[in-house]
Amino acid sequence: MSAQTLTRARPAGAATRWSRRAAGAVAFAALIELLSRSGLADREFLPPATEIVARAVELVSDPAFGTHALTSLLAWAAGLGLATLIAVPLGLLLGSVPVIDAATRSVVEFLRPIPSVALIPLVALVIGTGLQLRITLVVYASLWPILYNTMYGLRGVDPLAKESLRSYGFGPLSVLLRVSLPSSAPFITTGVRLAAGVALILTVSTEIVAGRGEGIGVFIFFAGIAVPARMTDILAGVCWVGLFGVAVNALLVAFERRAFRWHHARLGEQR
Amino acid sequence: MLEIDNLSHVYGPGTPNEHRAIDGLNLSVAAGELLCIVGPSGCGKSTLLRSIAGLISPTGGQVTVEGNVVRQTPDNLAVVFQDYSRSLFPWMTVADNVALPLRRKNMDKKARREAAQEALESVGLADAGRKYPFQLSGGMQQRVAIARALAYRPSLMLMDEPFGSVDAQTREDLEDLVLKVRGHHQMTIVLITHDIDESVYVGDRVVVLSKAPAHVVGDLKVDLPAPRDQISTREHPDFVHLRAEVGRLVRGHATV
Repeated sequence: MSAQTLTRARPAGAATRWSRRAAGAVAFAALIELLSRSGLADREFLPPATEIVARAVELVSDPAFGTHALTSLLAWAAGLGLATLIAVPLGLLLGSVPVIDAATRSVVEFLRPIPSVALIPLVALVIGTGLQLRITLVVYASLWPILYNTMYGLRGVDPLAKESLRSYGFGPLSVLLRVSLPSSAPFITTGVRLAAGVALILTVSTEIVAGRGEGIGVFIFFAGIAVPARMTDILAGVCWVGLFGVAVNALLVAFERRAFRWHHARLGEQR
Repeated sequence: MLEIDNLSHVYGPGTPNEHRAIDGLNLSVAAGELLCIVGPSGCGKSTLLRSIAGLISPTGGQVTVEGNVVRQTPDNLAVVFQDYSRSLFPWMTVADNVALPLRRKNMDKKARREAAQEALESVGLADAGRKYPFQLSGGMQQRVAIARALAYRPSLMLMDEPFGSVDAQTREDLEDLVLKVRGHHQMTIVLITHDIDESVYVGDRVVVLSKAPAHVVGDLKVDLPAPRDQISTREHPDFVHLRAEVGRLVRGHATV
């Protein structure tokens, strides 16, 4: 085992990791470029990467696209924020009161596997296709990873840590807020990070299905129903959604590393 | 100060896994005393400590601390557990760990911080306040746990095998630290250990428990010259005699 530890390659530094990631992205773009320009893929359906990127850059200075992007960002942020505000207290409740957990389990297990996208038409009928539709569905979909990670985190709280605080005369609520919650925080944050991706998917899908108002999904929808379809626009829009997703994930990962150094130290990670 | 009256505790009564940990245990500890409780491993020492701390409700008998029957954690009580890495909160700095229990007292933030710093100084960790527990060695972490207990100014400090997870040198240092701080603070200490030498070296009195279900099989007064010293105390004829006696009591009931 020690020999393995000795021969194991040193973990790549941040600069190396980033340059590897960039190389991967460039290679992928080059492949698209090649497929499109060589005629292997129909240029109408797969425009060259350079054209997609050029269009994406161009969109930045387009005020109409700016409105679409801001609207999507708002729905995403509001949905994710609300989901966090609901799921964390709910998770703390279900995770610390077994009776409530048992009583609600069948309902939770029934609701959880329903694909949120399938709910779009139903919810649209009830509350219309405005911002509230997007936020409702984003909240619904991003609730689960946060809820489950909160409950999972609570299960892992060291009983001795709780006993330590109890021995100084602190009551159950204090123990929950001062020991269980901070101790589960790394898991909760991971839940929020997973939910951020889910929320992005739901924001754009809801916009595409709703097909009106503002939003990147709406932009993509109209580019798609145009005759002929504006494929470069669709893919440029998708590019921005993807970039946003990568950026949010990277930010949250960086936050987790900084804020939960104690957690990683405990797991024995050398970072 | 502390009265334990006919204490019994059964885990899982009426189930196939029923385990009788303590049976009819009587014990009385005077204020200011440093009592060591020794017994074979698995004899219910920790159950006893948890009953005194009000962390579990014993199935029989009662514990009285400063005249009040223990139903929940008594005021002015602090516990130092064996496993410092689990009992300290890793997300807080050392100073915040030490200051946290003081929220139970009527102290403002500044007073809490000062009390924490003072306690850290008394265990020789004046400069560690801003560090996190995982940045300290095991012995230093246990010092932090002791500082946390001291800052709380308990009238009764319970220690559950507090030096069981540190190396021999650190162990001796921590034993001397306990002897030192008890001189500065007016408190009663109940220290649970499975180390016979340690119990005689640290204690004013040593109580030996039987194997489970635990009851008292020996109660010895330790009259060794103060201050105690790791070398000279341990070669004192009385020390040698006492450790043999405690050893016989522990062994006599450890083997069937």
